[in-house]
Amino acid sequence: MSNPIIRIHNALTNEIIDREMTDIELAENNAMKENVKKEKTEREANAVSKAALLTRLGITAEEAQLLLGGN
Amino acid sequence: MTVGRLPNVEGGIQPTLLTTTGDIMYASSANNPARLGIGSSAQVLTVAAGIPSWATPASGSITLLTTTSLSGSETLITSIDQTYEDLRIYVYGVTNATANGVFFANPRNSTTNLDVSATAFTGNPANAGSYDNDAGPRLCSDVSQITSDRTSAVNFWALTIKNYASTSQFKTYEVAGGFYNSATAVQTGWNVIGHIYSTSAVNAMRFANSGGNLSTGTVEIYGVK
Repeated sequence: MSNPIIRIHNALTNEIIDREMTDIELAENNAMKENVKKEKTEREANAVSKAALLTRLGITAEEAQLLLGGN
Repeated sequence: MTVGRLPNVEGGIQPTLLTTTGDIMYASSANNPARLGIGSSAQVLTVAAGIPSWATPASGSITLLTTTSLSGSETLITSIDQTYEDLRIYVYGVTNATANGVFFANPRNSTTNLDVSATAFTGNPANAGSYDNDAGPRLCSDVSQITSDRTSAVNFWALTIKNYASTSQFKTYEVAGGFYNSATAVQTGWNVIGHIYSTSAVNAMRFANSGGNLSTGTVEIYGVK
């Protein structure tokens, strides 16, 4: 299966090349996407934990912020 | 008589007056042709003491270096002119093909992404966030639950990189922009400030969206003196 296309624009010569990504470039691109997925998973897990803690304490998020000295 | 040259007659101008590629000819006085040798890179033609000359532009000027249409899984802009103080990069009209995602603008030295840190501010303070990694300035961020609607081209970002060509200093950068928020269906402001933790010069930029291929979008890169 062919790799995705990458566009390379040389600002000095104004040459534009559209070609398949090398395996190294594709690996970097996939790592970026994986990193974003991981961050999203962590954020969602944190939100669940936060909601559970607030329920256990019996306070709202706004009340928690007041306790912590937030604005 | 040499073929291709004018005979030495009154009113004729010898081609040998121009000795170097880029030379131009002017009149140093009435009826007196003279040679102006090519100037240095980025110099501009001006007038001093009544005759043309090359001069380095005064500070404060801004010059369009290149315009690029975004395409493919990612777009690289390479060989960025290193003779300016700052880079100002405008990005607008961006859509991508597959899904909403995080839109990155990575400062690079050749093929290497440079490490950055950032603090992001949005129209909703609750969605502000910070990150510290090598993923590059984010022009929108799923981390802060702010994702640009992939089908809406109503977006614009201005990215400024200070001292981008320095090989001895870290660089600061700032992103100011806005886009159509896919979650709230309203226009959302987006500001990011941060550092590029590298003494390597920024000579390339990489644009990519974690959601999929770039369908449309324009990048204009300006050099600022």
